Amino acid sequence: MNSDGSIDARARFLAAVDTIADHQDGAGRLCAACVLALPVQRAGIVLNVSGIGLEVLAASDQVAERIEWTQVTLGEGPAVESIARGLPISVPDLKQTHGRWPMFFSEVATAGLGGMYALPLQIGAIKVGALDLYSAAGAPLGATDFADAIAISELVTAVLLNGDRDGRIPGSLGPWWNQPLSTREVHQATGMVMAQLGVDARTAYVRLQAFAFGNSRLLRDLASDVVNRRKRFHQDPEGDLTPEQEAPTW
Amino acid sequence: MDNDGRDSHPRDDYGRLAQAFVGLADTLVDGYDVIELAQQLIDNSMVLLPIAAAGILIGDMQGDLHVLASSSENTRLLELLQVEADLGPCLLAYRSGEQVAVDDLRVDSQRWPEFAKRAEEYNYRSVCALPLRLREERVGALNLFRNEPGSLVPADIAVGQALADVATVGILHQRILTRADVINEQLQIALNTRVVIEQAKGVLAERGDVDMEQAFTLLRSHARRTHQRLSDVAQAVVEHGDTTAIFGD
Repeated sequence: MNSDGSIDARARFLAAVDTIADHQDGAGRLCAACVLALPVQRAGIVLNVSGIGLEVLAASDQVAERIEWTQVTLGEGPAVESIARGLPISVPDLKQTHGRWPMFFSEVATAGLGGMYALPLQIGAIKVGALDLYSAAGAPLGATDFADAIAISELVTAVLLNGDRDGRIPGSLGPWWNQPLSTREVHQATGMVMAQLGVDARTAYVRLQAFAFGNSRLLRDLASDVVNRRKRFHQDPEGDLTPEQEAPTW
Repeated sequence: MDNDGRDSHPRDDYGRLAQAFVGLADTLVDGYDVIELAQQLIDNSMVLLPIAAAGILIGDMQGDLHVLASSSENTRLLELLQVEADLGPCLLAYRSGEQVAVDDLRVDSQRWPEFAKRAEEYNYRSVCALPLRLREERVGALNLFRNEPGSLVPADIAVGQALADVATVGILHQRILTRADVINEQLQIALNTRVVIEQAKGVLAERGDVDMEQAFTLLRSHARRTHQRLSDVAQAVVEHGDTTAIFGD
């Protein structure tokens, strides 16, 4: 378990997305890529839509889709709890939930499932939703695979936020995505852009990411520029499309 | 009692030490706040030990170390801690569960050359990394820097380790630890809380035209003054963007 491992997991996931690109649209591709990149059978994504609640975004297959809908309809389940508490919820065996989520349990108990891992898709106070991973019966995730799953969930979070601009997941996820997306300065820059633009944290992060992506810059370098006041964001997003000419940095 | 030339009387030290533990114990009751706890540990270390800087790091689910609190928000210190977290004494202390000390980074620079070089640039001559561990679980490390070569005396190391042990219990916040995933839950919460605090610092730094150090101080003072948890204040700042109360203090 080390950062080399998580780099491998990210790279595997990105490669998997490329493999599936032609066969599926949008977020379904992300779910299918999880199944390829991790020792899991199924995957689903629920979104946390502010002001509305939870919605099912996508799933790798009908079984997963049904379970995601069950959670959303009941308002109960590992993904719901994961989003509410902001931490991963591991259920190595869905037949043994120890009295948690009673309604959810009665719905899924007969589905012939193994384990379930609900990973929050979040960046601090930005709560995007949850990624649910389903393992085969008798094959719960080990520690290394779980760590890989966390690394992939962070990448999924960033990709979903990137899709904010036009609502679509990019056709393939190029090498730009294989970078540290979650440095201290990225979070500080998010806060600064919030205040610069008078927007919420999610919007601020999306603007940062979009500018970095659009100008082929590493997110952490852009964040460093923001934190060190070499780059400011302005109200007009059109101004972001061309590289900003601020005070020279050399 | 040999205390490296500090002027304090041994009785003052005991008094301060007792205060430090009472203060840490306070954070374990209602209104518990893991970031505040970690910051108090750092503050106590700076007062009680003959050190120039300190940082506490905890491990995430991938086994990577992240800074939870430090004696200053100074970027150089944070960068140095991160270099050390990638490869250095504190990573070794975390992984092995043992105390790791380098008495003279200028002399013993072969083992961790990148870290030794950076430390030298920032005038730190020696380092002591104390593990944060509970039974067989490795949680992180407390890292102590000095401007002089040489080691901390055993009494000081014992104090540092005792503070680290209390912090470990606080961070894990469970009386009986039965499963590894419970420990990991607490770590994940702590790490995400740190992210929220960084986001809040950004909002304050921009609004108040202050640096990140001052932004953090503002957050902390406001939390104390209004008897709120640091993490709750940070959450409110990021969720609602409302900083008027903080600047109005």
